[in-house]
Amino acid sequence: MNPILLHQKIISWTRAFFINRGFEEFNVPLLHPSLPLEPNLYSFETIHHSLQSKNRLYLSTSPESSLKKNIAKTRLSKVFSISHSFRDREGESPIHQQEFLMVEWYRLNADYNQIMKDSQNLILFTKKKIDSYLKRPLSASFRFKSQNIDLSVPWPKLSLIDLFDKYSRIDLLSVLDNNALFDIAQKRKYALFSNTRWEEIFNQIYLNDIFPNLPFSPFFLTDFPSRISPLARKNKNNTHISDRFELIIAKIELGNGNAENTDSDAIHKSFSKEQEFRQKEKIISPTIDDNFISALKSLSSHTFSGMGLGIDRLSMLLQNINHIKDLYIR
Amino acid sequence: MTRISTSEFQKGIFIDYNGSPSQIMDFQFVNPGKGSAFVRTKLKNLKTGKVAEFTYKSGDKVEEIPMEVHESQYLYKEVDNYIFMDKFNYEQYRLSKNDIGAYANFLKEGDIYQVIVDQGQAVTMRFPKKVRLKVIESEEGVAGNTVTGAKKTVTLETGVKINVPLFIKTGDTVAVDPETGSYLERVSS
Repeated sequence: MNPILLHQKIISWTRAFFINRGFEEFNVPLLHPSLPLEPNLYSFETIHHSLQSKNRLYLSTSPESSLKKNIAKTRLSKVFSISHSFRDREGESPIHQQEFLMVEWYRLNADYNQIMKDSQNLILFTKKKIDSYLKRPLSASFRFKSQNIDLSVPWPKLSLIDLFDKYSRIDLLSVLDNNALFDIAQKRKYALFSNTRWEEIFNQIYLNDIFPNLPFSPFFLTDFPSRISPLARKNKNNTHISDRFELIIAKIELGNGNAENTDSDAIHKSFSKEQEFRQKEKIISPTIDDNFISALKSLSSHTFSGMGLGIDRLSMLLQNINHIKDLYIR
Repeated sequence: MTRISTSEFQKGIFIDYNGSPSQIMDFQFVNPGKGSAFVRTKLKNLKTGKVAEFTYKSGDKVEEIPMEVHESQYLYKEVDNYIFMDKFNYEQYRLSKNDIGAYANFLKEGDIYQVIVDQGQAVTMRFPKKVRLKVIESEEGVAGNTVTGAKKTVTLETGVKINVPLFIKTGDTVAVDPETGSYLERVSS
């Protein structure tokens, strides 16, 4: 089976999954004059030459801001979008390209556990569709590279607090300020510079100590520190931890989801901080999207949750493809 | 010694890792979810031969270790060792299958290679990205077999068998990527 053709089917089945469950689809714009400024998510800049002037426009890094504005306007309880997403300043690898296809969905008045279930059901639905389409016996497992991946539900939650403790002997909750984590980094001989950020050390330890020990079977990585999750709601029992998760299968991050932070003042503050950082580091950046901030403000009395999932990566996994480039002709 | 940034990483170069010279076998860019950029590196310790993985922050700096490169002629294979002779001082060097991996299949007797020497001992060689070798044997009459993408198997002058397009004949010279063993192009016929 031609992987490009099967990829088109997987996109259609993803759409069908959400339509069948009563989600409203939104086609969202890709070019924006301003965007949310999340740390480490950099947009491509382009110039629109109008007859009177030149305007800077930016390609969206995900459909998130457009979807949240649509929820604020329509108050629909279930929305989704399948949209091309663009990320600048990231290296290419067999599982990542600057342009990729993302499905993002939100549920109003729902918690993030419901979103985890959605992601499980979406992947099982797609797997079943592939098996029927290729006239294979239905199966809840598949082979990816040399691994047999079992999709049996429920997929467990693995807490970053537990993983840091087990594989790195670090009490994550006690190293949430710069000095505490940088002390450990120094002892373990990680390079530190005057502009090194807490997030870089956190992720470097994660990649060196924890990533090699992750299981190949599907799981949800939870308990992300709030300080690196500005758009996720803070956990009500411990505000240093956010209600955020990542879905990981075969050690590949498929998506990121969370209960939404609607504290618009705090979010505006974090975007302003990020804007200052980008100015200091001379990194091209759109201005802050004020309409996005107002949309969140109007939703502040609601609980709502959502997730963005990479369709290209899902397709690679379920088709056992080694390189993301094999899904597109250029 | 020079300090280099992760953006200057190349397969095959030697860097200081935990105080030991180590060769970069492979590296890949990684961006953990909503995190900054990192470079995951596979490093082979020059002394112990042990392979370790380490992830650097993008922009980290490491010491590049200059190695002695000796132009040497490949002489012959002796059990699982490959014998080279230094072009200038006629010293003989021995590399094992473990030192050179799949490249061993593409060594041609009499050709000159760059052998990397540390304290008088050969430790590895510089791996060319492309090798040119003559086809000495080619199966004919497999036309119509399009399932494999119209390919056939030929034997190259070093004895290794590779897959090539149907138009390649005995006596042609082909370019091959020695890392993957895949056919690149016909050089001459």
